[in-house]
Amino acid sequence: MANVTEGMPAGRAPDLLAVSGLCKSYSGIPMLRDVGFTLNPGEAIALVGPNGAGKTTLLRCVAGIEEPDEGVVELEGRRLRETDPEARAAMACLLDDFDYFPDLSVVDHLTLYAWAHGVPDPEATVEDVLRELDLLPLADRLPITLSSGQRHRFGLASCLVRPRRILLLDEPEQRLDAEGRAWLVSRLRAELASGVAVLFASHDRELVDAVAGRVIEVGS
Amino acid sequence: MALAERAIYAAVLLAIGAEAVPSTLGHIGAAGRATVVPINPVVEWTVVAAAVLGVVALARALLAFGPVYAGAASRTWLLSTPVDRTGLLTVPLAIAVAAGAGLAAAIGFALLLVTRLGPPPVPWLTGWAALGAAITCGCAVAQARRRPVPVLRRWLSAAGYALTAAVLAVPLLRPAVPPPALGEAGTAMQAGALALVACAAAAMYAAHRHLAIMTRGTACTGGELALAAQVSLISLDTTLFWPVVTERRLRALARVRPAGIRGNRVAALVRADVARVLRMRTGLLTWAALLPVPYAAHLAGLTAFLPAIHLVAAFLAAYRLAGGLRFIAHAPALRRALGGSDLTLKLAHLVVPAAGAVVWSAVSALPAPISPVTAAVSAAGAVAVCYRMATRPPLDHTSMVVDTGPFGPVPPDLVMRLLRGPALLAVLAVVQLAIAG
Repeated sequence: MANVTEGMPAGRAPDLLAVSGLCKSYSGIPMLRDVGFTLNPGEAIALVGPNGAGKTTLLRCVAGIEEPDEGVVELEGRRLRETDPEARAAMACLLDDFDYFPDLSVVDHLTLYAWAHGVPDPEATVEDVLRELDLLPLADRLPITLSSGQRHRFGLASCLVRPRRILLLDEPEQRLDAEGRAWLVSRLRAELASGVAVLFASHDRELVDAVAGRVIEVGS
Repeated sequence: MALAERAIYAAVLLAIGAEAVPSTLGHIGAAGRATVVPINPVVEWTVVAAAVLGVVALARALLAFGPVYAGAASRTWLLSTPVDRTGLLTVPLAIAVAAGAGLAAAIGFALLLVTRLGPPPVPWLTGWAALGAAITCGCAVAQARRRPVPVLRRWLSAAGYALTAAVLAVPLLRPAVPPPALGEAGTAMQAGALALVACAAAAMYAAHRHLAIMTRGTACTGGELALAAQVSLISLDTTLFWPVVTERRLRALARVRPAGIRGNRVAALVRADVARVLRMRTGLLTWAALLPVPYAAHLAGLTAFLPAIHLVAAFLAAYRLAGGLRFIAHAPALRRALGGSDLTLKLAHLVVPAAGAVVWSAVSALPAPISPVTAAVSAAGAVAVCYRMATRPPLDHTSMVVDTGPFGPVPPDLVMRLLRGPALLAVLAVVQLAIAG
């Protein structure tokens, strides 16, 4: 169960993402209690805690997938709704409900995301992302034929191929080898440097220390 | 209690069968041929073609399910003990053979009823049952020998389509010629049936011998599909079954050429949807196969119901092209990844089924006496029903149940969700009939 509230300074432009008073329980069992924080461009917050502490629930509430019992999630001062096109344009999410069209290949998905989000040079962007995530040999494969690790990289590629202001990642390090984790650190740092805000849950202390400016202990 | 209930249902079904089958066969035997309404040779040939496709579909289904399917307990024995495999798997093989023979005999029985072939019923049905048994045993041998199922399926499909094309070529070239009457070919029919029974016996012997080399892997190839079919049947929810079928097809496909997606947002979504339809050609084939249905209904004397039949067939054709819409409606993560509003995403994925409905309605109306108004209503109605069906919320089997007395407990929410789409289709069918007057 999380019980975290951070101070939110008043009298300035709205935060990119503001979470306040968030409460969520399942079948009467509280998972999140009065959670609050703000996230601004170039900042990274890591959610840490044991399994079942509520990290994924918090991310799902922030993404608008779960309706909190109480509390508000705001995107630039506007209440966030998952179906809002502006929220979808701002947030690139890799959560536990990652999905894909079963009959479109890896490259088809990435191309579709790039064109759908109006990326200036879709073909080049897709190729860059495929190369960066070592997915080029798998580009023409259907997602169902990928291993879980390859599918996870495909999920990360889906987030990176499109414009974004916030990255929401649930345990992005999972199923990545040592080399992949090193790449993830450098990539998330590059995201922060380019002004993207990152909110991620992780069990990897090294990743958290290397990337996160702030850490929220969920379940403490 | 449940067992007693099942016994009552089984007894009722058996009684119906015992009453209906001999009565029908007696009727056919007395007249020398099936006593159906006067029927056009084109329809008869179409039914023969459908029977050929039915046999191919049976073989493909058998391959998909195994056909020898070992349950969880048997699989454990196969994996972890030096059990006598032949003894353990004889019953599953017998069940599969019985199912194959029964289904093939059902196809033969349907032919007997619908066409004027008029063969002697006993050797005719025996031959069909033997054919079904032989096909099942052949599939069991392929399963035991780990023959690559996708290759076998491709061969079966190719043979089926070639045979269907050959059968359909006859009415196209000589429309007035019906399929040959088999009423006089009693001896030949008996010889043919005997030959098929001999083939079936040999195939059964071969299949039984191959049980010894069955492994846990080969014996549970269709386990996932069987489980999904069972659950779907119990829960009246095919959304559990079709993903498994689709997954198997896609695993066989594995790699595809790039779909050539480009253009603005909507154009890219539509191109991707078109690419999906072209990749999974079964939907397109079904769409095309439904084209002659209104004409066949007209020839079969169902002209009074033609507008309603046209509408239902238009919906079935268009719905086969609505895979993208179904998927996007049930995948919130994909909608988030694609961006834009839910409505625009759904409408973009409605373009392909809508185009399919319009083209289908126009083309299928040409040979049959269907007015442009009827065709237009069919197209619009098919699109509306497609949208309702594809965007139907997932079935909730835990919803409230109302005891309706004589009809037992009924979950209204589940019923309402099941009716979303079919109810609109029924209303539109009535409207079609009213317009046609």
